[in-house]
Amino acid sequence: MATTEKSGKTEQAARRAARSVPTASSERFELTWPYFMYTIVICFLLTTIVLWVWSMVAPAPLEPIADPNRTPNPSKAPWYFVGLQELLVYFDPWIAGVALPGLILGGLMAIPYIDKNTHGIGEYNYKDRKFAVWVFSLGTVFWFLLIIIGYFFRGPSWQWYWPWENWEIHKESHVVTHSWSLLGGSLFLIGYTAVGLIIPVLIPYLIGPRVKPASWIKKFCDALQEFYEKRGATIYTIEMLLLLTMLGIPVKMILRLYFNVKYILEIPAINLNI
Amino acid sequence: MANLSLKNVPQAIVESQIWKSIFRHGYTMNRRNRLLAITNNVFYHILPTKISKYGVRMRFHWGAGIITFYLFLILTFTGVLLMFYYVPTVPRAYYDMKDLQHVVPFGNILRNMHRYGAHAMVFMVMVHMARTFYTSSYKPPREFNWVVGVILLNFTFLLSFSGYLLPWDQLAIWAVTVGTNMARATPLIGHEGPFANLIGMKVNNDIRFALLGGTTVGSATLLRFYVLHCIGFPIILTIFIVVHFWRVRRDGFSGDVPVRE
Amino acid sequence: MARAAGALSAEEHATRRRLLSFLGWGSFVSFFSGVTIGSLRFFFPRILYEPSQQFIAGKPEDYQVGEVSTRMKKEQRVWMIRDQMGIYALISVCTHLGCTPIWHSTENRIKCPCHGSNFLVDGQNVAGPAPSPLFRAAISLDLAGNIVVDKSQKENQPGKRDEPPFILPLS
Repeated sequence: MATTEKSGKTEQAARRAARSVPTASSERFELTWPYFMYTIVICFLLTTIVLWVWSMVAPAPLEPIADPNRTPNPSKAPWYFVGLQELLVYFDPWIAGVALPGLILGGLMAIPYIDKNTHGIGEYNYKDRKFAVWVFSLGTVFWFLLIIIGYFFRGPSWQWYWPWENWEIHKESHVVTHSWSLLGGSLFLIGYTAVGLIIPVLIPYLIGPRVKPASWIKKFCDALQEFYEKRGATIYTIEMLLLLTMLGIPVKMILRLYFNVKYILEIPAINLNI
Repeated sequence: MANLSLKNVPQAIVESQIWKSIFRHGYTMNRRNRLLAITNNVFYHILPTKISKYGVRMRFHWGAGIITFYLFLILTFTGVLLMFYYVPTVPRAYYDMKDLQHVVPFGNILRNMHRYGAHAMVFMVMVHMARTFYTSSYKPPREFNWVVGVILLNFTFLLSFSGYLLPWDQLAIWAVTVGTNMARATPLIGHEGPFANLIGMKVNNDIRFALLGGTTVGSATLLRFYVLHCIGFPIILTIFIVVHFWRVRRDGFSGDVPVRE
Repeated sequence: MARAAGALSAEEHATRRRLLSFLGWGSFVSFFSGVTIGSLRFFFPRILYEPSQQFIAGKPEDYQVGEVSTRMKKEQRVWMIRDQMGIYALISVCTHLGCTPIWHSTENRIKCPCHGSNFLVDGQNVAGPAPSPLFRAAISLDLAGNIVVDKSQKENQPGKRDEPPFILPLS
């Protein structure tokens, strides 16, 4: 009883110490008024100037009046949704428009609860959190890559046009896509998930003991083992499933673009097509 | 009355009873008055009176959150002004936009600022999120504020999306047609989504029908999106901004405690 | 405290309290769930002011065999197509996300400008993200010999779509 009380108290003290702002000394702290106010006012002024000049120089676009019988060719969303529009080319609307955005937002919200690494609060620290920085940067870069593809590389009929190609010249395409069989599709999906989930756990046990202790393979195995053990089964599974979903998007894109695969898995009876 | 000269006017103003009743702290800029300037002001008291030199540098915080909030203020201001000339009906919406462009005094720059401000706000929210990630500011005790931030990102997108229908141009109708047809494909609650056929979803009872107020994008949709854009989403966004700021203050700036000096 | 005559025991008292608490919270919850459901129902209008889905599309003689006519597309969003079997009205609403596709005669394909879905003249989806073929509207002749198209009745499954009322058989 006494020990738990004591440990509770030390824990509380540690938590307080972590949260508390050190006593204000003039070396480390400065007054909000006026010093932080300068920052705020400068941000406001610069934003006003940029926005004002931008609005003076470039008139905002206004297309012809709405006509439900005619869609402009191509019809592009504003830049921040073009990535989503590009995703819709490869996935059914319920995946690209509902499930993936939901997973992105849900995954973003889950970041603080998945990432148990306490290093780097309040600093730009790459060394202690390489994996987190890589995954986040990869996701962000991929998102903007989709936007760039949709915005600069898509022309009439949403076909691939390089930026230097003329949209007036009509590109003919006679592509026919096909879907995989139910068996093949299910096997591929199950295989993809299983490989992604299990292989990183298995490698240290299978290969780890058989290589020289100092080799880079051994180091890699140790890193993988540490990666798993730090997280535990639940968080590891959630994290890897989110990561596999993210990496699965370019996989499907490549299958569609180079192998004309319409659906990996097709169950029309319940509108479930992946 | 003897020493009434232009030089003494500012002094006289700040020492008058009216001025002092408004600004409780003194005018001279000593340490006490600088602290009071923050704590006595309803708008500033969300800020701490002292702030760490480490965390306050632009290269730490990039000003992204400040700019995002400021853009929200600009958008509210320009948006309210635009409401004076805009009528959300099918016959008038597009021609009101034309009036704003060509007839209304300063209408065009207001519209441009509202539109570009929205683009900039979406971008700055993303920048702010990236900055927060790279400085690990989402880690305990600030987990929940990150969640609130993601909700704010979501509502920024919803505001932009509901905003595009209002000009009633070709981009408007097709963006919203596509967007609401995605809602049609939501599992269970959209009539073309997975499993929806099992619970009897049809074109006139699913989530898309409620969004559009009909089966196609039309006058009912324009009015619904107008109300959501001008009232619904901004109020929710404001509530979450308040929570967001409050949590920043309560949990402390992540840059307050320099890890390595 | 001395127990007064007719007063309740602690146990009896507790049950009455529990009942009252249950009733109180129950009415609170049921009222506000009713309000929530009512507010949600509020967003589903009972009456719609939308244009009629029926229109007249000229006479059968107006259409040539093998022709994809766009004469009704501007007003009614429908291609009138005549093949060896007869005339059918292909609704030009992409089955992907509802944009209006465009007929490209050089490629013999219908392509959507929003996400690049491809369809054949009979409505079959062949490439791009569209999950199902384009719909055909019900089509019939009125007493004066005019073609009447009804977009509220539609079909896109092979077999069903090739039978009346989704095709107007002409020899």
